[in-house]
Amino acid sequence: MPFMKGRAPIRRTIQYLNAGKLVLKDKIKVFSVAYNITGQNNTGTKEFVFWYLPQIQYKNPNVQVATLKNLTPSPFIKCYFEDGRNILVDVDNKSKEDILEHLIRTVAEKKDNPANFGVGCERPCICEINGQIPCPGVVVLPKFMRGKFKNQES
Amino acid sequence: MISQKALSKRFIPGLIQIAEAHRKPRWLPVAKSKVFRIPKRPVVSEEERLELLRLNNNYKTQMRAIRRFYHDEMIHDKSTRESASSEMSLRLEAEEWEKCVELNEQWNKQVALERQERRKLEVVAMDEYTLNRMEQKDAVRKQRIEKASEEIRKEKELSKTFITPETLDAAIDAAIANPTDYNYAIDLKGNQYLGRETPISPPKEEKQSASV
Repeated sequence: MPFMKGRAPIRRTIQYLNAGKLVLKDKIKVFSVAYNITGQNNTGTKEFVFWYLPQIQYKNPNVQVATLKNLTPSPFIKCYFEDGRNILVDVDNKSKEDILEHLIRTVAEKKDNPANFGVGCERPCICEINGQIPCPGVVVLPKFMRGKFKNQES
Repeated sequence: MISQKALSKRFIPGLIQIAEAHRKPRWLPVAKSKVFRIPKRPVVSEEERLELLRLNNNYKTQMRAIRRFYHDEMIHDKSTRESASSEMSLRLEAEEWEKCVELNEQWNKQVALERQERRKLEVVAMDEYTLNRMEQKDAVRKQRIEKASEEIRKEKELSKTFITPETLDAAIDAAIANPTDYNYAIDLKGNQYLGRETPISPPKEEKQSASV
């Protein structure tokens, strides 16, 4: 596909793909969406497929993402786990945002608290945040915080 | 002869102050005066060598023992921790699964309810639509029937004057008795003279006006 051609080419930009919020659980192997292309109750699912499926596939490269068009009386999403379980989500007459939110609540990988810092977290030190005091090993603490100066008189 | 400082300045420009002892750079060969100098081998007596060997062996043995002890301990710790954590993670996962399924069921129930209501409304709308259409069709059909019956009535009325075998003779008689001639002539003024053999008698006023 050429750059900036076709319908909504923003869907193919790396920034848009990276902005996807739905990271599925490790055990989910197949993610299938069934919907019809006509009917008011299918529009949300149709838009979900149009806008969010590229992001989902990009964020979950090891998951098979399938769409089943015009094979169902009412739209649904089905996730198959590696141990044979599956979870069925009825998405009849729901908007694409509602569907994504519900999926994030049910089948997404649980994320750590983004405020955490340290080994194995998003940031190794709190000093990387703007407005926090830099590490004393890098920049010396202000004098009023240092015992050498604070306890001088006593 | 280029001095050491000058050399270093030449190779490392920008670095001016070097506070160190005068030393031969690594890349210079052995000084001429030291080329044939052979350093004296250190003499270690047999007793000292044995003693050092013993101490070294002791040290190595002890260190190995300590290392092995800590290594074993670490592996043991790790295995116990893993088994515990795997049980824990399994339990956590099962709990999470339960929670997710429950959430999803709630959502599905809600959606099913909404769909039922929607379907009801749709059925009502569809009923209305079909009833409307049926009524319209009925009206059209009624109109057509009325039109047709009206035509039939007219035809029936007309049929009274139809010529039938019974009334054929009478009709023929009537036709012979009243011959109709559709021929006519027109004069310059547009006066119509019916009949083929009608004697032409121009109106008198015309004549008068012509004579005057």
